[in-house]
Amino acid sequence: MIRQLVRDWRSSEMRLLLLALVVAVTAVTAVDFFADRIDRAIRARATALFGADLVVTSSRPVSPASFALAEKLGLKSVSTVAFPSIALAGDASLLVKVEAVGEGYPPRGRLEVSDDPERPGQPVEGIPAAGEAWVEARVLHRLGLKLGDSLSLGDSRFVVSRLITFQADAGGSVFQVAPRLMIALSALPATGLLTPMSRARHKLLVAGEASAVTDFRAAVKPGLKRWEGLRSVDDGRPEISAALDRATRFMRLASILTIVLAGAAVALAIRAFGRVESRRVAIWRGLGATRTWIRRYYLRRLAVLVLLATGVGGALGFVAQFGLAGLLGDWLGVPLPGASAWPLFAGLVTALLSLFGFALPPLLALSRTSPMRVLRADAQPVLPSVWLSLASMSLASFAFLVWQAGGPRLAGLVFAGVLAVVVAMFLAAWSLAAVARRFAMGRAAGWRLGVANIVRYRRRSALLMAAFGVAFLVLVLLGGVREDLIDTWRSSLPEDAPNHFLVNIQRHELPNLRAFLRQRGIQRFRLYPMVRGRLLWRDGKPIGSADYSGERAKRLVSREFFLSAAEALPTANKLIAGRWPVAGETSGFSVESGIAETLGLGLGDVLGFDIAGRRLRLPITSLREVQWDSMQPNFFVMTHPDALKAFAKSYITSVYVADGDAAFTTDLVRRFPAVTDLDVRVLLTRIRRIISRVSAAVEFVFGFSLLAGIAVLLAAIQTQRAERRQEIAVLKTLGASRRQLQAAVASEFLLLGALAGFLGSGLAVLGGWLLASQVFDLDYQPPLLSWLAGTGLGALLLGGIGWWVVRGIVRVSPARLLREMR
Amino acid sequence: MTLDYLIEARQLCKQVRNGEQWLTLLRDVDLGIRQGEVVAIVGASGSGKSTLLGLLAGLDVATRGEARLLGESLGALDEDERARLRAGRVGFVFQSFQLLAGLTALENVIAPLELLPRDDERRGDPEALARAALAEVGLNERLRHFPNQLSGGEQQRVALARAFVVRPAVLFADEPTGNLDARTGARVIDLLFDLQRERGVTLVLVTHDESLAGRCDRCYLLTDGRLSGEAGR
Repeated sequence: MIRQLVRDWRSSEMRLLLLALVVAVTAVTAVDFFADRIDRAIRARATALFGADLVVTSSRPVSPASFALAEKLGLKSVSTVAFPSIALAGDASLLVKVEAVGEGYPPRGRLEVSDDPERPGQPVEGIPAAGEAWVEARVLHRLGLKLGDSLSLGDSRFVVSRLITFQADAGGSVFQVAPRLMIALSALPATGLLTPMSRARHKLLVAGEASAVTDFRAAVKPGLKRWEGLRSVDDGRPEISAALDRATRFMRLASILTIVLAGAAVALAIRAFGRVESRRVAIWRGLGATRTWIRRYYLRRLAVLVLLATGVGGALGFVAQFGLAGLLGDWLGVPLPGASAWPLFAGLVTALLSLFGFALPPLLALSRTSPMRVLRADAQPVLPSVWLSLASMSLASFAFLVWQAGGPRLAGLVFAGVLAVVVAMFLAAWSLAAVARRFAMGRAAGWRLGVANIVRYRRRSALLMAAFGVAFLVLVLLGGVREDLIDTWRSSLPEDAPNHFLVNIQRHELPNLRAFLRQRGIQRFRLYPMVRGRLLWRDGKPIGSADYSGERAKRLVSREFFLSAAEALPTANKLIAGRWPVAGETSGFSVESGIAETLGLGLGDVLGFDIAGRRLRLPITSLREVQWDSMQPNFFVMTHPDALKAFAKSYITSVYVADGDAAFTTDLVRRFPAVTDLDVRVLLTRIRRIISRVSAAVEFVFGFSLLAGIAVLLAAIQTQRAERRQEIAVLKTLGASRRQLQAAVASEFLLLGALAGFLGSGLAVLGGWLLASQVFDLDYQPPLLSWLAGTGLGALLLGGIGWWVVRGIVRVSPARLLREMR
Repeated sequence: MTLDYLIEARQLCKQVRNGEQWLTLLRDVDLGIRQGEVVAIVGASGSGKSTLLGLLAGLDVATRGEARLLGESLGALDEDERARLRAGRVGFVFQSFQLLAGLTALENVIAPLELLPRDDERRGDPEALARAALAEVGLNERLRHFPNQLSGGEQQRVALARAFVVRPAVLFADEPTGNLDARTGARVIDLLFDLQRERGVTLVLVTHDESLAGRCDRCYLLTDGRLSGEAGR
């Protein structure tokens, strides 16, 4: 076995085969390892934001049985109580959300606090001591306090000792109006605030082993009282998962295309391998080896190759994903979980699929080699039926695409694209023949020979063009999409992206607020009206959480929506169906497509909202996609301003406050005491960092595709090496000079490259447009210039490779070349 | 040296490196071949026949000594100059035919014509010349066949057509019947000699077949790299 491996390593065809397989396996495992870890990290991060694995919520104290159960199952459990109350400091008073938390809060994620309003927060262990309160910065602003001052809450006084900068279990919405004030649960009774009549929210937060959590849920769920609920972690914040989602989709696509390329390289390398091996097979067959023996022999050899490729590729993939993970650093806020072994299996399947799908037909054909080949050196090796090869390759790639793309749509798109380009390349090479002959008339011998070669070796030219064209298509496509992706991300969050949200602006404050903002040099802002409404009817029938089975849908439908209005589609929104609501009788709602899908809503459905006891009924006239990471106020449901005229509403806007304007918040609060200012700079910095890190990760994965593209080219050229050597030897003997031969091969490759580049990048432009619009939801300007550049680059690249390939051969004396061929 | 000789060798030596050792393939070979002569070089396998042929044709360079072809000293020319010297003036026939597998019979014969300079009058209409050359070897029905669709004898006839189509001054043939059965081989040799006579080409034939050597004007015997003597007819 080892000896065979060493022998195989000496064969350049085997080395190429191994290279192609290793590239494929590395790409798949690296992306899989990475995606797997990221996926689990996102879950973990979401859990960290959620503060627990599972939460029992209740409007009365949570039953002691639940505590006991959690303890029995070895779960960490912490109870909290939250309720609105008034905090007093001197003459000032403020509505706050009091949160009384037990020891060990939060069981998941962390709490970050700061001792200095000017400094960022640090994670903290523990909870406020008795007699201390930790508050959001807004509390200090509003009450005119500084750290160390005290405030009253009910019958107790608390020293404000720290600022809360980040809190798990913050409960989602950034539009939380009342600022938080946190005290220890043990300090709550003394305040005398909590009576059976209080509007308090009791929670039991549990966290621990996944299986124990599952058991806990199973045991608690059936016994839930009317006033109790069970909540588990949902996805992370939409603005962060949107960026990440695109990145994983891109990586997935890049790894798929890398496999397609690697598969092509395998197919080409196995052809070259078959040619070389057919003589050996002929000798064996002459010596009496049966076909079965030969088949077994090669299957064994390839099986070893698969294992080797899986091992090497898996190891490389594992190392590579460390690079990827390193690029991302710790922005997720939780450490990346360790890699699981699952991607190694994916690597093995990849190696098996790409090797056997692409290589089996030629190998089976190899076993049919006639022993006569020993006697006739010029006899051609047996080639597999073209249809069988195509069918096998198509089946393998399609199976792979469906598996990796996670659905037939992207798989179909890629498959059709690759198929189209292969067919186009073959047809083009074929039809080039006629044109090329005319072009070659009256040129120097080298050029004439080169062009004549394209015409004469049609099959070879077509193969080279198809291989090169596909490689080019993939690289231009990925390169283009990657750049667009990164550009779009960057431009979605420009330097002056809004970093403050102003909420709860009253109508009468609008003129003064506008003036205030303009005075501070803030010109770009858009004020959106906002009303709270509960979705109660659909097409005239009541709708409620009982109508839905999904937890997200249940929660969405039972909570209040923020409805807004605008005369035209806001930026960062994209209409995907219907038209924007107009004024008057024919007005309607525009609903975000994601929530429409979750709630099963469609165009024409009439929605009825209850807004402070009054009804607003309108049909859905449009669906839109929302770019959640845009830092603009975004709404699930919008309508025309006229439709909201009759309702009491507040306004919201987001503005960019320059770093130098330190007094912004203080001045704002002083002039508009009711307006809430939400500083989202921390969130913004996080998103920015994600984007830059994810862009780097995307570039990294793109590197694999480049490698695979190179493997394809090498393989394509490898298949023709023996033929070209003989050709060059004979022509040299007949009197061709090095210059002529170099010119011949270079011109042949140059022309093929130009055509392949033209077709490949042309199709890439088309594919890019399809991908951008169908998969990544990006606006895409077809880069026509890159089409031209692709043509030139193709010519240069393949011309250069051609020159490089023959460079070595033309130096060898014809006598030696002929000797080698005997 | 005399200008009478179209091909000439003086103290020709060829050594190759085999690992640490130097292997001598040819030692001090002297020979001279006049225009129109038919000369055989005979010898056992591994005696250095093909090496000598390669040196005489300028396919390889000698380690020592001098080889002259068509009045030019091959040692003084670089590889491209030697190639130019051969183009259109030297033809080859090989034991393993060396037809280009991807090309049809007709295209194989056109190949040497395309290497001629554009203003060379022999180029004429390459396709017509190639057709005529194939007709002469009796293959006018096989123009569009690829080498693997032709028998060994047919392939060697295509090789002959390719060698003669440029009307060369010299033709080197390396075991031209080595891959053919006796009958086919004899027919190919008859054809070779007919064409040689018709065109007055100088023919250098490497063979181990003594009866074939017997049909030549002169015969050299090569043993262990040494040209041991000249056997007259």
